[in-house]
Amino acid sequence: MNDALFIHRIHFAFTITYHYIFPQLTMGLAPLIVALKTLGLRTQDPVYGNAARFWTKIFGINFVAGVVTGIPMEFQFGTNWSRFSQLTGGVIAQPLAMEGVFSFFLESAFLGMFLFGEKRLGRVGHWWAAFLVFLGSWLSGFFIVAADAWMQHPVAYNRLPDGSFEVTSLWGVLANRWALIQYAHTMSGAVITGAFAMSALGAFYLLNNRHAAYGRVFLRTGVIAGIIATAFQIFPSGDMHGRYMAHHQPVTTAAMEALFQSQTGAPIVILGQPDIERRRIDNPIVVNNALSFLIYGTTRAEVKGLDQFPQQDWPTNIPLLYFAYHVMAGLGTLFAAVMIVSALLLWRGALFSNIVDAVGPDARVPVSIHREYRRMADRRNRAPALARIRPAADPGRVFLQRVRGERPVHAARLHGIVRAAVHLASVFVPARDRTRSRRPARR
Amino acid sequence: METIWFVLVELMLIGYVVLDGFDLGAGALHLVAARTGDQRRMVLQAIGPVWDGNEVWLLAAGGTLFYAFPLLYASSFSGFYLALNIVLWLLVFRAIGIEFRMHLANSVWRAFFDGAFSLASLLLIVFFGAALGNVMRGVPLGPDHYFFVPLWTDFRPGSHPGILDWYTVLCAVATLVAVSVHGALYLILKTEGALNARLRAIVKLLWPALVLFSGVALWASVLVHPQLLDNYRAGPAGWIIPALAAAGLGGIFHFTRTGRERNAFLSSCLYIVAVLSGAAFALYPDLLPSSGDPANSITIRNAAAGGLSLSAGLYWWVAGMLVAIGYFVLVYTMFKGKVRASHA
Repeated sequence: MNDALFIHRIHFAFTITYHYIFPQLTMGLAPLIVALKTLGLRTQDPVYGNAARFWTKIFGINFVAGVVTGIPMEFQFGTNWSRFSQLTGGVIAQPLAMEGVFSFFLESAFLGMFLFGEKRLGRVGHWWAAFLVFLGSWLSGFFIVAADAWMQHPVAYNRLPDGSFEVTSLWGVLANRWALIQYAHTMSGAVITGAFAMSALGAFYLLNNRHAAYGRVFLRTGVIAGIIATAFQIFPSGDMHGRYMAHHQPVTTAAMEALFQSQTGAPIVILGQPDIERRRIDNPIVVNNALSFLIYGTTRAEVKGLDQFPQQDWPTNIPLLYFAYHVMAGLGTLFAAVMIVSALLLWRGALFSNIVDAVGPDARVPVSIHREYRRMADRRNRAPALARIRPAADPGRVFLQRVRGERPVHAARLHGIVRAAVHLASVFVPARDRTRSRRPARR
Repeated sequence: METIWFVLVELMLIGYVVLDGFDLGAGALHLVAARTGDQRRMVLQAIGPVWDGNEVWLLAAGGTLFYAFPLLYASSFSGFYLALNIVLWLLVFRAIGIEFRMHLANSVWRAFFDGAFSLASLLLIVFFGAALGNVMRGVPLGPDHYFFVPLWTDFRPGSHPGILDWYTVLCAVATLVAVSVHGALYLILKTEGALNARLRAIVKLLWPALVLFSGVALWASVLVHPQLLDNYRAGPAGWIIPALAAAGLGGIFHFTRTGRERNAFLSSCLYIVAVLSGAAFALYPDLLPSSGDPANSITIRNAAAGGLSLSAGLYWWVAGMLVAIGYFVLVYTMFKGKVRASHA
């Protein structure tokens, strides 16, 4: 654990993980900003233009954070992994240099124009600036994935007499099948991040009764992008990635699934802790035959377990790999579930009213926001100075009056939960009937 | 093929210094030259749309260097480990100084970000100057072409040099003066009023220092590493380079006096291009000379990637860079002219 190699791996893992927070968000937001700009051009509604400008600010600041946390990645190849770089530089540095030349220049030049040049560019010109920033950020993602994919699955190379690698076909490196699959999976992941960020902020605005017009735009755009991206993340991109990995790195697949023994009709482990010593899963919840089916399309296929491989070929830290993979897959499923419910509500026209009405001021169902409002309102009564600063129609006061005047708090909460449940159920009722039974919307 | 890539990498590095040089220089002068909030905003507005793109030249040059000469990248990055990590932190502070400043209206944070931007810019110039000094002087390369240098030893460029010794510190100071002048000339071009006048005074003050340090640094380079003159002795055509540098210096002086701001800035660009080309011409074919046995030097031959890799790269590199230069022309045309405090 204390050797230099381990420290360097931790160092690299930390740098790349921290770095990736930022590009993941910017690559995800870029197409959403283009979508907002497009809507703005087509509808002439200024809300979309303002919304795009708002997200561009968030994009810009995260872009800069991405650049300055990304430079250490490039440096670390030389500073911490110099022998590796010396041997493979002829191959992996090629996509890295291409990233600089093709996408960073594009992205940074047009981001400057996009942030500072809206007046000079005009509406259509500004749309193009947004589009080129999007293109640059997605190209950049591709080159990085291509470099990483080559390290996972090297293709189109020669060994030179001094042991170093050289490219035999640049096209081969870029069109590496592993890279294409990984790219699809990575980019839909980025869109998921962008979509969740956008819809979460939209929901926050609607819940707080602030900037409701923008809240609706954010929520709608985010949920539509989110349902597409979460679905694509699981199928086909995740499915293809999993199968491709099972064919080309069977030992990694066995470790991720903690499949210790080869078997036909291999199960998939939903929950459980791998016990490497005894080579079994503790407290497992499994779905029989599922792994064989997912990889080979038939429940009877044999999947190679870890016992098929000599122990020195096993990944170093199997529990880490296993848990990371399971957390990833679990979150992916959860994202899809949240987006499916939201998209259904959006489709039935109930999403915004659900948030404003059912989870609105008198119900804030589970939530700490509810308590915060109460605390704020209490403090307000005690501090007249503060009351003068706050506007009269403070939702906190409205809430307090309602709570004190009409019914006890827990009853209000119960009422809210029931109404939230009714609203959720109302998704399955045809839209027209439901609008008739509802009281007029309060806008 | 190796020579082509030597020239291309060198061109990218020159592009980086010329372009990011002016916003680094502007940063170094930020606290000194821009006193009021309005003036500071003008400085940031002058570099705001372009600094990020300029810094990409460093990334692209780094990537191209890594790809064309993997051994050089591997050896120099691991050998200069500590210095590079300091450079990384400085890049981080500079970027957040520029970008986060406008998002926080608090005056203490503003002051912090102004300081971070200015100090980080200044130290970056010093470190880049010292790096150039290290390359010119050579480092103690072993037979495996790897080395390690501490930040400093006894400040003498002997057999156990540090990253900082009297020669590299001299290079660093000379670079600081040159890049500050470069930044000031850019800001003069972009601003007006009191800020413009103060910057002119700064250039007037720094110009004699620039001439002095250029001369001393040149003399010291030859003293520390006499082989640097070999290429100049072999081909008299090389002497055109110092002549161009001198012309650049003269141009800065002349055009500043006559108030032709654009020409003064272009003269400064010419000076930087000439000095760096001169350094590259002197080093060729070495990429990183050895301060001990010359056989250990990293040259374009022992460091280059495989021939197939290099020829594959030539096509996309030329095409990509032409397009990239196109973007820059577009951006600079769009944002030409003076910035005014009023639209801040």
